[in-house]
Amino acid sequence: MKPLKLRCHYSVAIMEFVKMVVAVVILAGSQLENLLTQGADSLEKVERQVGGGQRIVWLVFALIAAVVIYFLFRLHAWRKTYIIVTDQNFIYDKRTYFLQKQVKFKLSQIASVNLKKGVLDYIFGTYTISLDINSLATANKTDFRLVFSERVARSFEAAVKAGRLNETPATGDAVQTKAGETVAWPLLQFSIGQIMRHSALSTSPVLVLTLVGAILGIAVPLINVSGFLYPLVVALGLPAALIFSVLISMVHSLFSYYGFTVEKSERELYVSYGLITKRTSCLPLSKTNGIIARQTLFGRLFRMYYLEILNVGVGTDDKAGAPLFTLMMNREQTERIIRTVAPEFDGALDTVHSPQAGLCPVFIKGLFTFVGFAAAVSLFGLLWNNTVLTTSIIVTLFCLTLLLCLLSFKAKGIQAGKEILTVATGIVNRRVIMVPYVRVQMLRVRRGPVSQALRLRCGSLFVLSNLVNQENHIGYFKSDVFHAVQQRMEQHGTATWIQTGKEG
Amino acid sequence: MQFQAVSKRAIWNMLCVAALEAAALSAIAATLFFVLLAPLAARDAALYWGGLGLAVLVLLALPFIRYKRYRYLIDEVRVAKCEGILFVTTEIAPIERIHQISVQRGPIDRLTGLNKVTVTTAGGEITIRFLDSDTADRLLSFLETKINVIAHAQGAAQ
Repeated sequence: MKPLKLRCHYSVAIMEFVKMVVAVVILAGSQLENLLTQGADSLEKVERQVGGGQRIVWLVFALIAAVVIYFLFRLHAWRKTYIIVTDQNFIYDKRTYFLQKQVKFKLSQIASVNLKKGVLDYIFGTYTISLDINSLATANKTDFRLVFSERVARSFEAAVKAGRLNETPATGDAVQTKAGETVAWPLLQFSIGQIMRHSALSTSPVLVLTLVGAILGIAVPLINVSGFLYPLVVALGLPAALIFSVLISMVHSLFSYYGFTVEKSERELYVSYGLITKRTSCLPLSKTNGIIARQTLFGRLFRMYYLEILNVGVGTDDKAGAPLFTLMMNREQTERIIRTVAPEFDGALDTVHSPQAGLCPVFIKGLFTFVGFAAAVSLFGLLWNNTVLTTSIIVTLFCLTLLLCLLSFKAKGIQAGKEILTVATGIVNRRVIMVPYVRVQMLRVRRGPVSQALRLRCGSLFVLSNLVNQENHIGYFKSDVFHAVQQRMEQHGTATWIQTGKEG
Repeated sequence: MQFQAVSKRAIWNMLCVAALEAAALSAIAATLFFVLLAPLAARDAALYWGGLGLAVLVLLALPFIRYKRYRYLIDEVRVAKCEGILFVTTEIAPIERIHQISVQRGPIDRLTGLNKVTVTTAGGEITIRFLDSDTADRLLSFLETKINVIAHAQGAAQ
């Protein structure tokens, strides 16, 4: 393949320059505000310090010159930075007067190529490409952020894909085009109704509780004012708060996940979504280290899941940390998709719940937390001198603690399969992480006085992933379960994984 | 799995740390007493200082229990460590997953001639403390050899 030598779009230089100018203007603006508030005396003081009006003119000229020099510097940095894609390597080559830097790595090391079209990209007609490589050092952030015009972005993506295919020749019967690109077929497409369902089920319980609290806060003082207003505010306010929370979630989801489409080729998964900011992720299936099935609180009620792929080196700006590849689906659909995308994870979604005795240490831990909060509330209660309010807060806290303990206990689960280990964790939201034993790095087992008496253990599982998903808490289970996990983790080495061909 | 105890000098190391902690606690308590709680009744003051004395005694007694519970294991397959007083934590990492080993010595470690060996995996790290220099060197060379052998085997398999 002929090496592809590219330069980022000129908007990169402009945007870097604009960012700097905006920062300077904000700084100068704050100083100007100080001068205006201090009045004419202060202006005269500055003039005296600078040394007269003529020198102010020179200072303004110097400022303009500095801005022009900075713009030229950004332009020079943009002109002298090249991205080179050969048949095997990706090279980032920067050769400015001040800095000479070259980063080179194999195309097979690229974990994902994500295309994003934001508002600025619409203005300049560009695409922002986020490139992630298989590096643990940069597992929590994007390795390269490049901006190309639409045509160049597409050819760059094709070149990277073609290079990756050359690196690891296909073993399956993939359909290949002239450019060496495999053909992708649609796997999933989410309608607006399904996106709305996802958003309704993703409504934050914290937001709902906050709004309900705010409504009650407004309504309670009205009890003494009028017997009519209080029930009216509660009757209208509470449903309005719930509808408002769901609406916020729906609008956010509609903008974020509009046109959510998943396509699959022999080796890669393509996920694209977004109304204003469009995102396209290209996830090589050979780099899959695990699958995460997530459930929100409302998703748990309806047994709905959404999936993420665990891919080393992929650091997203998203809080979740792993690339999303489906929206909320029922259990059967989720299992079907897992079977299609990563057959080795088939049947791994099932977990065994903690034994009933496990509730005891969970509740004891919860009670200790409750006692701490109750003590703090009582202390504040002495200040505001309202026994009814203090008692009602403590009772609410107690009920909330019991509910959270129960939710946490119900969320925990484990399945120590032959090849795949599944751990379900979480308190309000549930996360089921499925990883091959070979990707399990470390096991931590913990026992306290209560769990020792009940012959139970709890712990954490550390997996090869981005930082957000690195530690996964395991609930209370019999010690045999931990023993089995430890044995399988030790038996499954990297060498056996490579021999069975899972490394790709 | 046969866990091993660390060097007996670990007790001195732990006692040094506990003494520093007890001194810091006493200083804070004394400041609190003389600055904020100064006009305290004699009975309350006795209770306050008695409580502090008890806390210092517990702090100084804990190293002996901690030493008894502190165990480590390094064999052909795994690296493991077990520690804790009321809540006991066992950390296990297969030797194959280790990609970095380091030895550190802090000022108290140097005073008692002990070392801290940290083995790092791609998901977390295990720190084995209170190892005497001979044991630390032996473990280091054993782990280095083992990791190199595994790395060569993996390279050959790929």
